[in-house]
Amino acid sequence: MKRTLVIGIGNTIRGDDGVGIRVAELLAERYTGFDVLCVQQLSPEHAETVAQYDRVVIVDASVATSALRVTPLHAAPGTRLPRTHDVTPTGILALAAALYQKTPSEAVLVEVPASACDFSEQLSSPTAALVEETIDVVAHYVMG
Amino acid sequence: MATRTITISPVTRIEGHAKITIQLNEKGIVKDARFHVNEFRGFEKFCEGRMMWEMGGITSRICGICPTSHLITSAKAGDAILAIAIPETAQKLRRLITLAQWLQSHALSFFHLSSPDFLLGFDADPATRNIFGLIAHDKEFARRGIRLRKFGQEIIEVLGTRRIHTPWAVAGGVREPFDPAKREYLLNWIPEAKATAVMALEALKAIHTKFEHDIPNYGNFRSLFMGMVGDDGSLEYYDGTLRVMDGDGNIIADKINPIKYRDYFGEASEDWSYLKFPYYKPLGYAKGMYRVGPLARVNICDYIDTPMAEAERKIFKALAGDAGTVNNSFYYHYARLIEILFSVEKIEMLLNDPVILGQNVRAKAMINQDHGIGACEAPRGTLFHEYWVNEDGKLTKVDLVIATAQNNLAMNRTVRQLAMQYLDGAKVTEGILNRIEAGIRCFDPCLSCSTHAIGMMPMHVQVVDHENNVLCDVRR
Repeated sequence: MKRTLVIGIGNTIRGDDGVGIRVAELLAERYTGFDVLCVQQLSPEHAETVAQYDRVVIVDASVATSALRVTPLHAAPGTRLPRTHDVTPTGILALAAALYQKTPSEAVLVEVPASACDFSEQLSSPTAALVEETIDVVAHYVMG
Repeated sequence: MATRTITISPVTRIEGHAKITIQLNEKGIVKDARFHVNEFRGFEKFCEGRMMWEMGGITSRICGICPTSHLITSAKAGDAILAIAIPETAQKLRRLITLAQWLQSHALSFFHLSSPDFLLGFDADPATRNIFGLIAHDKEFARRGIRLRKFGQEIIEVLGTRRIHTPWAVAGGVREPFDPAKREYLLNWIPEAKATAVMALEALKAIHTKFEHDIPNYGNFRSLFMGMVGDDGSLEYYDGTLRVMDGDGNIIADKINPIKYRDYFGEASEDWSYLKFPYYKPLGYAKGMYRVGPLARVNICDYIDTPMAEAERKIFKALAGDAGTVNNSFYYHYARLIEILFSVEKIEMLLNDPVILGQNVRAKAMINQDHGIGACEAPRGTLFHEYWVNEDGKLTKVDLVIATAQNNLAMNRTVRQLAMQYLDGAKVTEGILNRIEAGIRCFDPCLSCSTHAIGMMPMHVQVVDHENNVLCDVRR
C-alpha cells in the first residue's frame, strides 16, 4: 500500500486562502489510510517529511484558476528556492530529491479557486461550494 | 566633485526587500553607499483600533521567520497593560519557545542563507550559490542544518500547535500547558542538535581561515552594542535589563529597565529609506550608531550560563584583542552559532525542569494600565512593542522598534566599507556584488519585520552618474 500524505496549505484567517486547510481537515475526519498535514506554508524542513511518502497530494487555494485544477508535480531539475518564507510545491520536491534522493512516485497539486482573501475566517460562497467536490477529488485519488 | 551611483536592488537571500546604492565620484572612487529599504506595510497604523488581546495574533504575522518573537513581546506588553505577574510555568514556557525561535531562525540564517557563500565561495556562479549548490557540495551538512531548524520548529509546534504564526502566548501567560507526553520526544532531539551546533562551529572556524583576507572588510568598525543581560550579567533573551557597551568594551549604560528604552534610544528617518535609523540618544544621531543581535549579545554579556556555549564565548572574545569587543560584523555568524549552542543547552535544561509541566499557565486580569511595553531578544536583536489602550483595551497607538532597524546605521556603514574595498569604478562583478550582499547578510536582516514589509528578492544593480544618468543596469 502506498504511503500517502495530504498537505493542506493556507492561512485560515485570510478567507479563501484557508480552503486547503479546510479540505485537509475534513478529509482527516472522514477517511483513514493516509496522513494529513496542515501548514500555513511549506518550508525547507518539509522536504524530509515529503521524502518519506510514496504519494503526496497538496491542496492549496489559487487565484490563478477559475476552476478546480489538478496538476501533476515533478521535482524539476534546476528548481531554485528564491525565498524561505514560502517554498513552492515543486521546490519542496526538488529539495527532497536533492537531500534524500527520494521523492514521492506520485505527487499532485490540487488548486481550489479563491476569490476573497481578506481578513476572514469564512470561505466565500463560490469557494465554499467547491469544498465537497475537492474532497471527492482528493479522496478518489488517494483511495483509488 | 562629480559622482556616479551604483545600485544593487533588491538584495538576495535576506528576508524582505532592499537595494543598495553605491555612489562613485568622477574618478570611480566610492564616495558613499546606502542600504535602502523600499517597502512599507504600516503595521503600527492599522493595529490602531484593534483590541489589545488580538495583538499577539496580528503582530506575529509581520514575519514568517520570527513570528514567535513578536508573539512573546506582544504578550509581555499585554502583561504590562494588565499589570500582572505571570505564573512561573508560563514564564518558563515562554522562555522555551523563545529559544526555539532563536534556534530555527539562526539555523536558517547560517545553513540556508549564508553557507552557500562560505562553502561555494563568493565568486561561485550565482546559479549554484544557493541551497541546491550547497547540497551538491556537502549533502550531509545541508541535511543537518535543515534538521536543526526542524528541531526549533518542532518545539514551536508542540507548544503552540503550529509552527508559524502560533497564537499561543497571550497577555497573562500562555493558552495551553505543556503536554508531558511530548517532553521525551523533544529531549531525544538534543544530542543531534548539539552535535550539529558543534559541527557548524568547526565548519565556521575553517571558513574563518579560508576567508581571512576578506573578513577584515566586513563591517569592521567600532560602534556601540546593545542587548539584554541578566541580573548577574549573563546572556539573557527573555526578561533582562539593557546594557550598552562601546567598541572598546566599556559599559557605558547598564541595568536599564526596557520600559525606559525611549530615554536612551531615538529613531531618525531619512528620505531614501522606509527603514528607520535608531540611535543611542546620549551620543546623538548618527554618532550613536549601535549594533544589536548575536554579535552584540555575546559581546556585552559577562558570561553564558551553559558550559559549551560559555567555552566557545571565551574563544570568541579572544578575537577582540585589545579592543575589548569583537567589532567585525562578519563574526555575527560566529556569535549566531554560539547562540545556537546556548539555545540547545538551555532548551535541554528547561525540558528537564519539572516546573514546565505545571497546569497554571495564565493569570487573568482586566485592563489596569493604559500603556504597556514589552521587550525580548528576538534572533536579530532587541525587540520592543509599545501599546497605548483605552479603558476597554482598544489600541489607540502602537510603536514597534525592530531589531533589524536598530542595525540600520551599522548595515549602511558595512556596505560603505565593502564598497570602498572591493569596487573599482563601474566594474561590477558578481563576486563583488555578492560580497556586499554578504556584508548585509551578516546582520541577517529581516526587512519584513523592520519595515513591516513583505516581498521577495531578485537582484538589481544600477550605476548612475552625478546627473542621475544610468550608466549600468544589471538584474538577476
